Amino acid sequence: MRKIIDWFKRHMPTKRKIIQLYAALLFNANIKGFITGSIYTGPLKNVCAPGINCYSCPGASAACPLGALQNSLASSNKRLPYYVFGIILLYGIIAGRWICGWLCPFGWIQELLHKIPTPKLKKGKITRILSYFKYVILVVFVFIFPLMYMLRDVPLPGFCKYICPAGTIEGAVGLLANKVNDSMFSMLGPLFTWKFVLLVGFIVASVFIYRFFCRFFCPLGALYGLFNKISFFGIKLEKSKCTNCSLCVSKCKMDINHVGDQECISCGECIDVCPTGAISWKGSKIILHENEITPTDGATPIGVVNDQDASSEPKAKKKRFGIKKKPLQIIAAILMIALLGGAIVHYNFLHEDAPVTLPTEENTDGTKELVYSLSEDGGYYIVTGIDDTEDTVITIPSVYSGKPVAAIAADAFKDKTQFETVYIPYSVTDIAAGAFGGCTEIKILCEVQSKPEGWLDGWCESSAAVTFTGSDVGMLCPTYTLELYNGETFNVKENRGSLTVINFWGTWCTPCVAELPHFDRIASEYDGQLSVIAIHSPLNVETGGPYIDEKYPGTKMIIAKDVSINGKDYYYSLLGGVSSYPMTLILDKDGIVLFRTEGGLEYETLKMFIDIYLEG
Amino acid sequence: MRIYTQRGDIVSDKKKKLIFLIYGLIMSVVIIAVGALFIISCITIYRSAEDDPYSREVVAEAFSRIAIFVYILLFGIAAGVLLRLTVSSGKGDIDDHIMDMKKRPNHRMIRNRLARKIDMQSCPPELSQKILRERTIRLISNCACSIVCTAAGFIALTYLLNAANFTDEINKSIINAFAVTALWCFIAFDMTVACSLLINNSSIKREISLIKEAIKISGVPSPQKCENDNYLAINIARACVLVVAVTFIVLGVLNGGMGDVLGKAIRLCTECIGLG
Repeated sequence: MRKIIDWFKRHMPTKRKIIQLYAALLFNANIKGFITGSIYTGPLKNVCAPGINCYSCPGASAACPLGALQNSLASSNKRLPYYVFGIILLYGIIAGRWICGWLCPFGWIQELLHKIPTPKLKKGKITRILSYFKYVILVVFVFIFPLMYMLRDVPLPGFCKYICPAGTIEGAVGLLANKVNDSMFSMLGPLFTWKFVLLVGFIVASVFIYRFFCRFFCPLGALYGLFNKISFFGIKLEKSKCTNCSLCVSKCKMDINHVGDQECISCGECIDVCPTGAISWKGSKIILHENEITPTDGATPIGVVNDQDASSEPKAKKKRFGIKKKPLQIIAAILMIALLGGAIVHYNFLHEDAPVTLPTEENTDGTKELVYSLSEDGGYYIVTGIDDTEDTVITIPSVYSGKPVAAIAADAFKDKTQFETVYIPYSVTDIAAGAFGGCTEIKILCEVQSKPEGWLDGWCESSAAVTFTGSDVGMLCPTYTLELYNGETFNVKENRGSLTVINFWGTWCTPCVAELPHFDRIASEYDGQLSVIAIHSPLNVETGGPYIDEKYPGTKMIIAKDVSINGKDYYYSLLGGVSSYPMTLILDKDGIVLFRTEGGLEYETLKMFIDIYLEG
Repeated sequence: MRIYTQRGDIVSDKKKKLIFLIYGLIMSVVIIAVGALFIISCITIYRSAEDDPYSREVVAEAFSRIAIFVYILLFGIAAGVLLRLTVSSGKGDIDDHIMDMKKRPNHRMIRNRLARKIDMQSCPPELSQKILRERTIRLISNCACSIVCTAAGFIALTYLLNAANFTDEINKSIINAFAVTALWCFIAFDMTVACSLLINNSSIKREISLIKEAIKISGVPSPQKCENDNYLAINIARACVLVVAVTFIVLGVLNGGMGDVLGKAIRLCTECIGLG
């Protein structure tokens, strides 16, 4: 029994490993996202996680500080990035690179990979020099590229787009792994290939080189390292006790010159090898006084592994749990478990994405030849038939003579084979059996999402095509009225009769901005044959109009605004968008969705689809 | 091979070293091979078609061809975990076998420690002149290194801060900007720093031997107390940074910056995560 306990004690993970696992779980608490294949879109993404944790990971519960910084810099001509700078300063002054050693999920992944017992590449002068490369990455990819392209009104998060392996493995691979996101495969191209190759390189290198990415590439670590000297938490060296034996530097796997410099991730492994106890944790006191290491009440400082009695004897064998179990630590552990449990409950059970409800726009412009009769209780009208008409497209209004049109009688359209299309509005909740009997070629387009309960069986006995409203290919596009930047409105229903191309974009989105010229060109070349509607997302919506006026004066595109309802981009969600921009739909003359894609489109691809659809 | 020695405890050190050496070499080959296969598969898929080369079926088929190697890798990792749990006697044990933990002398720290022990005025003149000469060499080397690094940085920034170099062909501009300028400048920076380190290192070693000679000649050293960091300055810096951080956060909330962070974090820009 004792041997078993001893074995457990020898092989138990350290506190740091437990906290790293805890942090990885906390910052990826949205486990539901892996099942649904979508990202968390709740309000808690106002907050940035301290380490690198891509916001596009389905499990991510907070924003990434590096991504937020680049995006803020990319839009700094509209709004100065105070918030992100403040967050990074706050994290830096509180913890510095202690975050890298204890809280960063990607750092934890690299340490796990490094545990595979292969020969390792040792640090040396060359690795020390190479460790400055991350400052080049920081300056060039995080600051200069977003700022230079900000001058051209093109949002470019340079590091996220070209280098970040966390984005590839957590975001891209995490989303693609779910079958719900199969449509994203069509977006993959040279950029994904490059980033995947880079990701594999980082993973393989991490096995042989300790924290390969952190040491040589991580710009966030470079930023945090600047605060190491003055941060509240971390490692400090008492120079008066230091004998320069350099055991700490030898033991350390990072490229430090001395303990606590900008490369130190405060893992604490040097504390136990120091023979004079010169190395200790900073976190025990907020305000430092000279020569004070231990609190005057004699209690052992938080995080200190060995007694700080300044003994010059060689330290005893490392204690894994050598800290006294004080009540404060127990309370802290309980609070941490409660926080993690609360986060998991909130993200997975309490937070529900509000459903997007179909708009219910009243329509009184129905086909004039329709015949109505008032219901027995006088509350609604029933369509009982139709007089002779040359129209082949019949629209039933939702309101007639001030009352809703709620039913279609039996035989109303029986054997009326001259009609091609019938639009049934949302207000109709009862269709009698045989209402469309004999109409084998008719297209019945219902402005509801599925067959309502009131519709009797046999209301459509023929093999006529029945289409309900939805956003998938083959469904009837929901009807809505958009607000345009020029103050007018645009009703999608009124545009029926010609091909419609709808593009959801944003000035904050690089591929959106990159493909806009293609839509402008299509709108010009096919003017009169189709309509191109570019709908700007609610994020930075005020920038859409001026952007178009400047870059595309006299464009034939119809520029509209999306609105935010319950935290969702309303029209984007209405047409099936989940979270990725840009999104493009093509509707036929009846409003049926012919084509839908997420991701950027090339001009040739767009033109090819339009030519096919125009030819019929 | 017995797992337990006659003492009944752990495998002997020699056998442990051999086990981990063999395991390590095999796993190194497997890991590198699997990584290479993943990269080759990805590039092959990309080059297989001009438009839309990727699809779930294509990706699944490509990786099913290398699945056996992935299984071998996973089996090897599982075996490694088992080895750690059974053969190793605890944390650090494997590190001792895998990494050479010999103490490497940090010449700069040794030099600093020794320099605190001697009094330059009581040194023989020739020795103090030689010590000063070594310090001058290092000063010149550091200055030269700084000048070259500054020049390299200036050249890079001149290119990077010129908006005309960033065209609508974003990928091409980025590749040009980084590979042609920043990378070469960094290589120049690295080489300069490496030369400087070489010169400094050899100078420090010479100075150490000179200082030791001076200590021998001048007799009992007079130790000087090493001052700790200036805690007042650190505390003031902490307070300032904390105030600035909180102020910026409040300003950011008021000017809508927090809303921008949320807005961006809940909308996927596909190219920003490598889907492009």
